[in-house]
Amino acid sequence: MNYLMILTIIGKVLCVEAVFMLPPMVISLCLGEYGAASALVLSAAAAVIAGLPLSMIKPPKRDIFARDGLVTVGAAWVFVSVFGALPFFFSGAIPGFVDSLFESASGFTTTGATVLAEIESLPKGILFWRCFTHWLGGMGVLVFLMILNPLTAKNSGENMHLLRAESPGIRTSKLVPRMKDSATILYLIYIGMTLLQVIMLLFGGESVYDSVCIAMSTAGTGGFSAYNDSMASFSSYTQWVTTVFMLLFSINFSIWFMLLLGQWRRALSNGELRTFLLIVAGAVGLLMFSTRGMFSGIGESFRVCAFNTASIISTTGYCTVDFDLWPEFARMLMVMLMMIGACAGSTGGGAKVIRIKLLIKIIHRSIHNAFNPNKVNLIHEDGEIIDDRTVSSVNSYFLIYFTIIALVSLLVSLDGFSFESSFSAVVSCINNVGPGLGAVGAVRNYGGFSVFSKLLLTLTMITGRLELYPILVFLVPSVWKK
Amino acid sequence: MKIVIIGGDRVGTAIASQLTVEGHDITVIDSSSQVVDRISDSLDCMAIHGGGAEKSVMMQAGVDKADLIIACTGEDELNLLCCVFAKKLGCGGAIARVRTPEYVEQVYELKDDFGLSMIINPELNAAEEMFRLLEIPGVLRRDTFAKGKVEIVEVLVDPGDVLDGFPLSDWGKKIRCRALVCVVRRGEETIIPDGRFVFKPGDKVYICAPATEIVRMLRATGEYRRKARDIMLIGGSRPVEYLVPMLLKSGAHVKIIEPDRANAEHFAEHFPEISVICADGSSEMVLREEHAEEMDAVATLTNRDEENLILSMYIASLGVPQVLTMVDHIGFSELFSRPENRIISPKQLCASAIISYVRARQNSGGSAVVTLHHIADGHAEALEFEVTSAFLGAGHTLRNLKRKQDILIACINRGGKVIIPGGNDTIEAGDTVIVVARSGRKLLDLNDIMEDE
Repeated sequence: MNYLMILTIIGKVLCVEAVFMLPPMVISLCLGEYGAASALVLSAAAAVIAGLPLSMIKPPKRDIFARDGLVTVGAAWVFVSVFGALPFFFSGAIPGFVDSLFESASGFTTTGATVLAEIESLPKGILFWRCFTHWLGGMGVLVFLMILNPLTAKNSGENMHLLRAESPGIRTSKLVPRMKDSATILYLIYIGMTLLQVIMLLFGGESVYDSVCIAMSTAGTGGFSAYNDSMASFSSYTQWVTTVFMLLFSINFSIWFMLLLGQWRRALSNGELRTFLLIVAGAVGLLMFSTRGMFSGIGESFRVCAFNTASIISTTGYCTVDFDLWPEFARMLMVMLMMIGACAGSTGGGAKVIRIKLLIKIIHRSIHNAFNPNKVNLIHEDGEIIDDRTVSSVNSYFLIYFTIIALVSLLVSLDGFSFESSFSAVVSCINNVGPGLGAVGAVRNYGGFSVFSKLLLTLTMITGRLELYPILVFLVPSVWKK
Repeated sequence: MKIVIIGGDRVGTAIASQLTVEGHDITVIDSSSQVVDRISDSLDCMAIHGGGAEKSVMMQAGVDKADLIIACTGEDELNLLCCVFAKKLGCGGAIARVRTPEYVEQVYELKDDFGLSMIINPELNAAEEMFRLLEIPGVLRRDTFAKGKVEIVEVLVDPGDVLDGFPLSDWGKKIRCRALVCVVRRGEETIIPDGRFVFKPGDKVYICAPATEIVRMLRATGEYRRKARDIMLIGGSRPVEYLVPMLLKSGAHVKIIEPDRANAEHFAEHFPEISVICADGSSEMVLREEHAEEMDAVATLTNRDEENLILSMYIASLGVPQVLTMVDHIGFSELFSRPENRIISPKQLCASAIISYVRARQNSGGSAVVTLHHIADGHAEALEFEVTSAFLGAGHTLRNLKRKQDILIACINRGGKVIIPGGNDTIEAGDTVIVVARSGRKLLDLNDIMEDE
């Protein structure tokens, strides 16, 4: 393993993180929150002190292979979360370090699960940092680094291992031949869409601060809000804009790239996109049916159900109502939507629509093979045959995914919360949603869990964001062997 | 430039990796998904799975908007089809790999009909390279410029040679022929030498001279060796097909050892003047029986790199003065690249040819690159430029020309006259000049050699 190279990359990531602490600091200074501003300066300084010497290392070999790529990304995310927790801790916004770490990891992984009951009284700069972590984590910190400079040997394709480990999806591919250009295009689309949302929110009369916070939180499909009641008190126009953008950010960014290139037909015929839209439409319909009579009029019912569907399937986790009070069917449906998640290559979490789609096709095939063993049964998607390697990677993904959910639920249940609460908390964390059911329901928070459970859930969130392997490799002893 | 490469096997990968280093946008198409995975993992380029001649795949790769397509799969017919079709879709230029000896000549004739900008034939390149080395055995490498009028040759300084301990300041007085020392490679160091430089044993010296002066220059420096007359070729791979006629024309005696009966008979039928031995060239017995040790030169040309390398080491140990080894996988060849054992890599030669073509195309406005050769183990480049009126330094004497550091004007070719320049010479529009620079400078235009104002 190329330890020196891994350390350099982590060093660079920390330096970038320090730079990103400056905008919230400026906001704090402008608003006269000197405590928060000094906490942010201190945190940035800590990140620079740790990161700068590491980034100065000149590794003799610059090769990165698949294993180094996974370890780099996993370690980088843990470090980013740790240093991202410092502003919360130093400013006293969140007194305990474990709580701060939970909040920071929840931010970067775009989960949006919080330990805080009272949010509005916190300094605005800290709340901005909270939403900013969503925005950074949504597209990925290492992807951002790739724009600045190639990480590995000049023009080699090894950055691909990093991109693949950080970006969600079954087969991450570049948009254009060169990695740097691909990363730049991704971020440009991301920034463009975020700005578009900001403008539309401003148009609806929201303040600049609120608009930017909501947009960043939506763009990363995170779900942190600057208000205690999440999105409930915002106007229905703002809620609609957010609904639409939550869905837009859950769509594979390569589709936005195709649209930019004018390839409408190719973009719209994408199988994953169609399935995603179908699931969203179906879920909204079923929720409206299940919650009939709870809202005044069909218009409100449609708005609430659309908002919550978009919020959960995009794994954002904004709330306008306490869906925990809904009928059992609707609550179950919400948990299902959490597991499905967004499209591959988006900023959303979850298992990803494409994996669910392939899973259903795999199930279909194995049933067919049971009664017709000799039939040649290939799995197609978007006109291409899915090879056996991808099929088995989907299988093992779900195997590991459910194993983790089972194990972590078991450990979290030590805290004595109900089955529903423990289980939904784990499902919510691994899929980077935020709210769950019961004790972690839409209007509650994760503050009641023990330190052990919080650390475990922190790790679960990062594991879920990086799609399992970059964190799991740390548990395999042979990774550390030559 | 946006370049699409069809075929990701060894030749395609070598070309793609060189071109990505040069900073081009590369898309590789291959029909094997393993190859696609390997390429997208190891190179900073896009790899697409599919048939290279299929329209949908070509469109996905953006052939219609590409500046150049390079078809280098193993199948000539497919390559030609790809190129013809890509041109039809609107691709800027097309390069096809054509290597079947039987009809390669015909394809050259049809080059314009197919719309090809260039035809690459790695095996022919390798054969030409080997032939040039066999012609003048004293040199390790020969790179030609100005349509063959000028060459840069690589010479190794052995202990006790004339050049051992020779100060470069004496070059003009003692060597007395028109030649210029461009680059010296000493261990891991690449030196662009000046008057204070003194040669040491083990130096690899790169000397630029008119083709007609090469032999005189080698005689003067004591590096000249008699031209090889008795040549043994072990293995009957494709380059042999091209190499044998060249050798026969120069009057050499050629002996081929080829284990495959049908192949051996094929050579015997086509080249009745040579002796073809049907035996396993990797057997020590056979080599002794055929008196390999008495040969002036031996080339190992089987299809297996390992066999070639081992055989060449053995033959060099017999004291054969010149041994050439064909190696396709370039990976470990540095280990074996010794003066007595020269490595010829068809795909590397072919990749260099394409790079020089691409650089020339990149710059169609100013002074274009005509030829490009990598010298000093790839640590320096020798580029031939066509000087146009766009060159800012035209008319200035070289002494007054503000050049970037470590850039050498090795040769000026004016209307067929080769000038090895001194401080009072000038570069004029219409000349071609050969510039030597360290690698990584990425010279695209002759103006790039000038000091930035």
